[in-house]
Amino acid sequence: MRLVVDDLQAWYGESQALRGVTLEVRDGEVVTLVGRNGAGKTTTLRCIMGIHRQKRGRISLDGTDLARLPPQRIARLGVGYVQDDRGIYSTLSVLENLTLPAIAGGDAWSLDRIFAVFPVLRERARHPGTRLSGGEQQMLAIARVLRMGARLLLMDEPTEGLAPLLVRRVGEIIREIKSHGLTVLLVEQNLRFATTVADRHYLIVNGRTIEDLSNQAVAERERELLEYLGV
Amino acid sequence: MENVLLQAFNGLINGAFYALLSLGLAVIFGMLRVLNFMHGALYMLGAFGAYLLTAELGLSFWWALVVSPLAVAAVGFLLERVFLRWLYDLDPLYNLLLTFGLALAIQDGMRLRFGMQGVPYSAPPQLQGALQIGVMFFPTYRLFVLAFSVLVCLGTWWVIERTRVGMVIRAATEKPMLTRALGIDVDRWIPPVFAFGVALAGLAGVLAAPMRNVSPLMGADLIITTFAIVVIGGMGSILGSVVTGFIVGVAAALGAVYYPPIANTLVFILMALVLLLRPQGLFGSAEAG
Repeated sequence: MRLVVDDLQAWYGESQALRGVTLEVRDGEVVTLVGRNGAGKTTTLRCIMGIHRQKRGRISLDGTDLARLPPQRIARLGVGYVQDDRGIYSTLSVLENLTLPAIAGGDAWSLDRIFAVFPVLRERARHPGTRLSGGEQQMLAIARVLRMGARLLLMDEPTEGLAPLLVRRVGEIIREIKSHGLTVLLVEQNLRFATTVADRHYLIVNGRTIEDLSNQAVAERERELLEYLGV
Repeated sequence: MENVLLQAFNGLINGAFYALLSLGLAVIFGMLRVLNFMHGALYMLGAFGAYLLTAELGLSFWWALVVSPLAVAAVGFLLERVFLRWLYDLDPLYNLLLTFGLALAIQDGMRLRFGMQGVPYSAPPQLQGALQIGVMFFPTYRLFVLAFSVLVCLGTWWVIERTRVGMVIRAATEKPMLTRALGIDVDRWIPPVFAFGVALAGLAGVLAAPMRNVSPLMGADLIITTFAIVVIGGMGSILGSVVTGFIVGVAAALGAVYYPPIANTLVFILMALVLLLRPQGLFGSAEAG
């Protein structure tokens, strides 16, 4: 799926959070949005998903205008949202967390396929969702949008707070998702990790996307970029 | 000892009404984030519905038990579509004020039509008299009320815990926005959930009709205690509202035996304690809310 965001601006009440986000994610690409805390990465995803409504600008998915649609309609067009706190329901079992979403299309993964990739979810299927470890919850959040048949995944810091081994595992999963032809827009603070999974990177500063960087450009300018990220 | 047992039994009956009412409130609050102040008025409408169906149309109690809650559900559905739905995006205070105003309007409307005295309603012939259990006699109708409301609570629990509809309600209660982002049209479920919640109030009203004076203000006092129960149980917690309803019913009845002055205030003392020690309620989770 091809996502185009053009001059997106957003507000929280009086204060402007996004001042001009422009980006494009082409079909089958993995693109990251890098920037420091508060730069507007999460707000950008929330705008695309239709959750944040105080916004202006163009958002289109395969030519369909998303800017005025409610989240449930956007989800049914095949957009899967993996939010930064993973969004696992404590009042739903692991299995219910998986089967809750409306199926968005013919690409929906079957439960068998999900369990083959994420065996732990089968073992813990009857447990409350939040009884899983942080890493397992992250797997569940990703599995859930695959199960609904999302073809564009919006992932907000999937590696945050995970041990190095689990960060590698998330990387493998993102590469596997990409190998199936899915499109990913990934919010990431970890620059090294970003270059191992993504094709391109947008640098967002103070609510504006200021650069479109290749992996090579990131490698060459790592020191300068790390300063932007405030690491 | 026998007196204590009898009081505990009567407490369970009061608890059954609390449970049905607070269950409806909890389901509505969870899904709509609305503190439905007209719940007591709709309970009263359920009782008057039973009276009208029996006195004017000659239908039996059993028909009233089915028809009156459905009629209350229809009233609730209409009020939700006409009034409540415009205020969901605003501060919850607005819907609280609106439902409070509607409750006053409904109560006054009924007062104009039926006066303050209320109307009589008797239990169906099949349920009159008393049953002996062990060495004690219990009024048959009260046993029926207890059994029936426990069944309704269990049935509601089953629907919420075991069906797809219930799963959507739980999800929308816990994380309304994310649930939409997972492709679920949460708003489509709001009117039926509201109608169901107020139908429970209507049902409680029908059950109360043969036991309590059917009068315009019969729900007004009850609703305050019921709100306290919802707070004690944990706002929006289904299990919490039911269990707390029965606990408060029994506790207040036993309180009346041992120290009568405390009977009416006990629930508020409990609420204050819970708010101090466990603000999310006995069965609430810290994150919901």
